[in-house]
Amino acid sequence: MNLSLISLEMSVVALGILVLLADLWLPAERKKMLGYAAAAVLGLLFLNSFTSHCSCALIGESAFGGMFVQDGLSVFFKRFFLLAAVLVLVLAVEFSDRIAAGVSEYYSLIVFALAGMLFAASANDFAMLFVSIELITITFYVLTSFTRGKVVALEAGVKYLILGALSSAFMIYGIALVWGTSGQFNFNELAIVAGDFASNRLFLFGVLFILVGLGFKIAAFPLQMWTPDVYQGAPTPTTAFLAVGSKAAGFVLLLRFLFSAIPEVTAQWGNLLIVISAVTILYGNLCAIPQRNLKRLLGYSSIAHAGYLLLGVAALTSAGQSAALYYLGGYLFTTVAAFVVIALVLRHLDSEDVSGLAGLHQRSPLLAATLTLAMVSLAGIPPLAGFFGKFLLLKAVIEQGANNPGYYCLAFTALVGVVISLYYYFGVIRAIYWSQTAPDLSPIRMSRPIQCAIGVCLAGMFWLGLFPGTVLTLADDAVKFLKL
Amino acid sequence: MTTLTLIFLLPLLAAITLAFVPRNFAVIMRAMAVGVTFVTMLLAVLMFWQFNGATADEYGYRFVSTIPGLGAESLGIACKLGVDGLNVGLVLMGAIVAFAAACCSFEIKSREKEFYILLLTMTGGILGAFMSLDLFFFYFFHELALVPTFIMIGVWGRGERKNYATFQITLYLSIGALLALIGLIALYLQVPADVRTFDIPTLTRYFADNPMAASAQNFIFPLLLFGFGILVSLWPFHSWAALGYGSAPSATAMLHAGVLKKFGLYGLIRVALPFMPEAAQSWMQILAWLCLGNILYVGWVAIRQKDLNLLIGNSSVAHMGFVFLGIASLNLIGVTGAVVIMVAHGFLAALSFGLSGYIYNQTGTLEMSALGGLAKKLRFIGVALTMAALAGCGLPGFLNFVGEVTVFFGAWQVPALRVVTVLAVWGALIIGAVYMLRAVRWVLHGPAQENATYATNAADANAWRKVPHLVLLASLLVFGFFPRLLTDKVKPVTEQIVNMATATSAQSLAENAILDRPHPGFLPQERESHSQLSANANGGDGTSGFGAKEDDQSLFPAQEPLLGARTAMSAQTTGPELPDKAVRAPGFMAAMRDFTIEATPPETFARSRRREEADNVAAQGNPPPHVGGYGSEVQSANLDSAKSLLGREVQGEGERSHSPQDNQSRLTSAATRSE
Repeated sequence: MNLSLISLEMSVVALGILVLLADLWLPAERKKMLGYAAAAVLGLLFLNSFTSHCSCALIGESAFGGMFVQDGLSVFFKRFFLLAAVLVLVLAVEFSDRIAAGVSEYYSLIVFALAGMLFAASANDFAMLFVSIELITITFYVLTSFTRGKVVALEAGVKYLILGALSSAFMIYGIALVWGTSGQFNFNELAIVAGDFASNRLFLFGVLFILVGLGFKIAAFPLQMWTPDVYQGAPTPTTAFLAVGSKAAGFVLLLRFLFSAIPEVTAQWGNLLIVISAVTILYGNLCAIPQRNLKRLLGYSSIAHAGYLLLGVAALTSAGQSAALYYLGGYLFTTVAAFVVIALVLRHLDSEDVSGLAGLHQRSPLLAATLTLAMVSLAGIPPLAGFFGKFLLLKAVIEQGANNPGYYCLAFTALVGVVISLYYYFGVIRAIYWSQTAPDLSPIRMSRPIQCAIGVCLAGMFWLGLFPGTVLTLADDAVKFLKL
Repeated sequence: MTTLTLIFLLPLLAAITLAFVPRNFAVIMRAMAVGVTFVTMLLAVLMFWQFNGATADEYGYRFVSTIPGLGAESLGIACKLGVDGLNVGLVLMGAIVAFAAACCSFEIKSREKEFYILLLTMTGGILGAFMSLDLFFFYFFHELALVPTFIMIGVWGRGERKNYATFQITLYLSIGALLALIGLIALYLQVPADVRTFDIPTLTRYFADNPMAASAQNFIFPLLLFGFGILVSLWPFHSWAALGYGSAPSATAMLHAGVLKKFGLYGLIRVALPFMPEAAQSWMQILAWLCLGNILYVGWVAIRQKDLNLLIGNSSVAHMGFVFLGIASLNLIGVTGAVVIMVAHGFLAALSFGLSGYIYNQTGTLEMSALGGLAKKLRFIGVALTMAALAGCGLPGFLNFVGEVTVFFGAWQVPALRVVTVLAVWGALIIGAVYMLRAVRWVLHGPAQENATYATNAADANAWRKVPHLVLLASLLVFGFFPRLLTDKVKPVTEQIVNMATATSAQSLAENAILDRPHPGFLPQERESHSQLSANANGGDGTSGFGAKEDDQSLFPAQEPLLGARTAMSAQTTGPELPDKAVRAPGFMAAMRDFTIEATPPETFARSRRREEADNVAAQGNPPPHVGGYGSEVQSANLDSAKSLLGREVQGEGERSHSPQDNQSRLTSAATRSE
């Protein structure tokens, strides 16, 4: 047993338990600061992951009989999750005054969800896949309805619970079918025999059901129903973590499952992925148009972004996979920035209506600029991260067009989606700068840590947009470990 | 840091600096914007001045510099900047217009901070797009400039339909830009994976050596044509333009209509034509008819306008038709003319929108029926507006005239485009004059409206306010009187581009005429095989391809290249063997010289005049060189009259501009090859 390989995960779990224990002894007014402490520890772990002391340096090793692997892909995603958790924790501290009781539990649940994501990044086995995904999902059931005084939060929690349980059931059924036909649990061993089952109906149904479970996590059509309600009802830090972390966890599992476990089957399913990706893009973008609630709007936009990310998966090439990874990187900074602004600006409002942004450019130019840049980046406009990500995705898709004209259609669908999305993203910008009447013009106060978080997000957006070289190399290295 | 880097980085750095200036200091913001664009303009003028002296790299680009760190090496993306004859004029024009736009922004009274940040970002983006030698950053900078446009129209725009205009222009232009992006990515993917790059010079050489597959051309070219076409308001995708400009604040309209819009045209000329010659040739006929939509239909629409800004917006769409016509002619004269119009129209559009913005500020309206007699109150503005209107009609003395006439000459040379050319000339002379002069009459002449407030309040521009208009007018006139400042730089590049765009037919001509100048990217044996192939494909006559006539290089080293081509062609029509013999026979060469005007060194104007006179005496009033049709009576008759109309500056403009060494090398290569 190679325990040093999971030292990172163990430290994160230990951190979660420590936060829970600290809650027992800390006086109530200091509990808020626990979030900063947790964020600081995770930040250190994040920095440590670039040194040789971390388990992230042990690339190519595996533990638990091949259930847990450490490769470029898992390391890329572990850094991604750590960074996301740091930012979300800082945001959670800012949000903590709106949580009636159990602030420390809120922090520790975020940390436990993070542990699930870290395990998901390394999952190379159906058991690990299912356990990690349940660890993430169940913590999110609680995180979603944490402000249980609010009806919308409860509604969101219940919806997420029911649909999540349903998709888990699908997934476990699929795993059973795949295991029953092929007799393999481990992805590496499954990959060897998967080609033989490429025409086995039961096996293919199993694969399809697993895809249903993963599609629920990433909010791909037709499993996107929960997204807008849950995004709207959940506390903003939860929504941010759901949008970034949970979606990325779904993607790393999807990538590993499709391209490491069943590459031969995936190669035949290009058309299915094209259709899912195209419909997801169109659905997300079209439904976002009439939204007035900001978080709901971002919920639909996150569906659309799942569609864009699926472009990279559907391309079935390493260029596409690395593009998806790069896009996720940009999506992390952009989405967190947007939710930070929402949490700060709409603090005293019951609903997150777009009109609440009126006069923001006078109340806080920094927040106005941040939200504007986040929207511009989500829309995919230079010089921000979203543009370069979309550029890479489009490139990967068009590159495949010579093999299958469907990819050209997919590229055009993505184009249409981008144009539609401009409409509602600019609507948000318009609400910030255009609106004539602003009821509340009091300046917005921000703590230092949240300013740092905003700074990190802004720097990340520009960095990924202007100097893509470093992260692109990381992403390219990461996807080398996938078989297709 | 080279001049070029400074030109495009200064505005962007200034924009970032402004972000940290407290918003109370509106005066500082304004001073900074004007100051920085002024310095940028001076640097651009300096760069333009030093252009001839600067050392060119192996691809013919000057002032080449790379901004380290930007881009991704693994994908072949690098922020490489440089200018050649094609974009040097555009960069200069962009910088001048940006200064004028910053000067005209005094009308902005709210949220100055954001406005000037956006204005400077837009300026930096525009200049970056035009000087970028990397396809990725070419697109990147254009988008960077485009988004501020939308926001500026939305926030500081005017009129009731401001919001509608904002969303219309945003969606329209985004579709265009994204179509072009898909085209550019597809273009990039045509290169084998190991040598993929976005570097324009490298790609140009690559596609010259390895022509793109016809199927790929037929897929990518329409994407670029319509993607870029939407950005340039090609009919029938033009409807965003007039309303968008009509609702925009002056500075935005000046920068977008004047400069940013030329991005699409520049992309067509720089990328689409040379990379995809076969598709270009097959699409040009369609483009020519679409451009009539711009010239005639939008011209008619302009006549009906009641709002001065909408009229100017429509006229700016109409003027784009001439550029498209020049591009569609696919010959040296036409494409050169297109580039000249791009520069000319940049100044003109900026001038018109600047003036209309001033009038709007003074009178509070641009409804032409509510205006009148302004020439009395606003003397300077009135004179400037009249001059702008005349420039828009194509009056000699303004750069627009040079460009339009050149385009018409170029288009006329293509038999398939003659009908279009005739209609376009009609559109330019009649329709253009009608709407321009009517606008002048309504706005400037006649009695002032009795009860209008402007009759008492309107004040003429003071010295400061005059500056932007004076600068733009001066640019139009300077280049109008000395067009060779521009054309001498443009021609070598358009020549290369036209050669690539008509590669197949050019090669078959080369087969016959022998004395072609080797393309830089061609190895001799490759060229042989190319010409063999294309000669077969064209049935060896070289005239079957559309727009395929004027592209042969210099039959006679010391003479006007086009005439060389034309003589080769007309000689061909008499008999397929003739050119070979003819070229080798010294007597034929001597005879040919009589029909041509010799090369004029660009630096001496007086000398060229003396030569022209001498030549005119010698040639007994033979047609001017750039249009000279040997054996074409219709043409020479036409051209004679045209020549008398034009005066000297145009005559000089069509002439060769190669350096003596160039001629020397051609002579020697000619000598060796004819042995």
